[in-house]
Amino acid sequence: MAVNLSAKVLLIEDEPEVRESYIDMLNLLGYDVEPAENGMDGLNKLDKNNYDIVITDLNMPVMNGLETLRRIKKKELDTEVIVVTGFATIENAIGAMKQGAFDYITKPVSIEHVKIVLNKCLQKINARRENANLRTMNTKLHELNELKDKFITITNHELRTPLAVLKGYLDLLNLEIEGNHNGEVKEYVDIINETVEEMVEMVDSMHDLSNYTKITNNSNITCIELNELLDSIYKETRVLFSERNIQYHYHPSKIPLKVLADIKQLKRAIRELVQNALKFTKADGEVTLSLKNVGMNKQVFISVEDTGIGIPNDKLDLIFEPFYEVQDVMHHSTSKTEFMGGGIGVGLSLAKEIIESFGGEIAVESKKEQGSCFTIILPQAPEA
Amino acid sequence: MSKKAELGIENQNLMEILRTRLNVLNTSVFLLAEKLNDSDLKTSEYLKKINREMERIRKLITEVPIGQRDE
Repeated sequence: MAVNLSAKVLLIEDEPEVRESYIDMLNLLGYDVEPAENGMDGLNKLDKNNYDIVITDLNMPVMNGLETLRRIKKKELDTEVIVVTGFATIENAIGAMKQGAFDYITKPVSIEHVKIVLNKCLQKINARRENANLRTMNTKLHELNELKDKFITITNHELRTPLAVLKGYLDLLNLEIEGNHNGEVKEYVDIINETVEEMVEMVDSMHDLSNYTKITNNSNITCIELNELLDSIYKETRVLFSERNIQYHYHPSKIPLKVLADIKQLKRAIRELVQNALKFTKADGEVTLSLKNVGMNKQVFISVEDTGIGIPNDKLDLIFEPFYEVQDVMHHSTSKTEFMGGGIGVGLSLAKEIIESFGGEIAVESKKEQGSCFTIILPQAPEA
Repeated sequence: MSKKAELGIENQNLMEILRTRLNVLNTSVFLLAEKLNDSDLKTSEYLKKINREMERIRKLITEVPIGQRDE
């Protein structure tokens, strides 16, 4: 640990010659020294200035070292006290340490001993300050996190109202102009409807994301048989693939595989991956949902493999970041089933949060223009 | 770094995405209004109200600095 040698020292010593010799020694060691003639003088100086370390003699007139130490500790300052004592009064030095002194130096003092004791003392001071800084930073980060959540909550709460009202008037306008749609009017109305839908979805997704700590607060953990769950997801989603003319396969595990998870959240995470594969696979492509296990590691693997557009290597780290979209804005469309359509890039973030909350992880392998494979790895539930 | 600055890229990204969509919406509503019969009272009224709500959204996402409400 780095030791700050420019530390400020208050030296309390009643004998002028001894005091001068200590000052010279401490200056030589690189310390900034302020002298005081006795305990009372030292306390007065402590009231006016900040010192890192107080070095005090124990036997002094006016106010002795132990009383000075007691009063310094009562002030609850961020200052360490080192006492100087003769061999004959070493018991006093031990008594001083019991009252909170950092260490003691015996007379006659040796520069090497002083150096070691002061270095140790500074290390303690630095460690304490670093600890305090970390605590402050931690509190600040905590506050920041709360502020961020609050911001998102306020924003999406306040956006919901005008969006809902706007949508209401838009529906009324649609009814009013129905039948009078020429080509251009229809085009504008479609764009407006899609954009509003998209904004509503964005606000909803933001709500989900800001609530992911609640989402991943897994109070409904049960033992889930994955073949059943994946089969239901496959059945629910296959219509979306057939509409897009994408071949969709499901390969269940040959044996029942169980994990401990919240079924709703796990289903959501898997659906996000399936939806993602649908979104980035062109017509006539292929998507495969599969389940297997590796007995040795007691892990289960849920894979969603596609022959879609793939992800460039340099973007692989970004795809789980909220709001990251592989497609650019110009290619964006509202429908979740269209190629490159839907979403604001929070689905994968949510999936990752959910899976990690069950002690699992999501791995991704991808080749640009060849396809991607997302694999959820979860610990297998212990056998009953 | 100020709290405002630290609030993070997530919120900035959300604002950016919402701004883009709002621009699309604004332009489309303007072009639609141009094509519609402005003598129809109900149509004009609905368009006026749609514009009013868009303005409210615009204020929320463009004029309210991140963090201001909490400081």
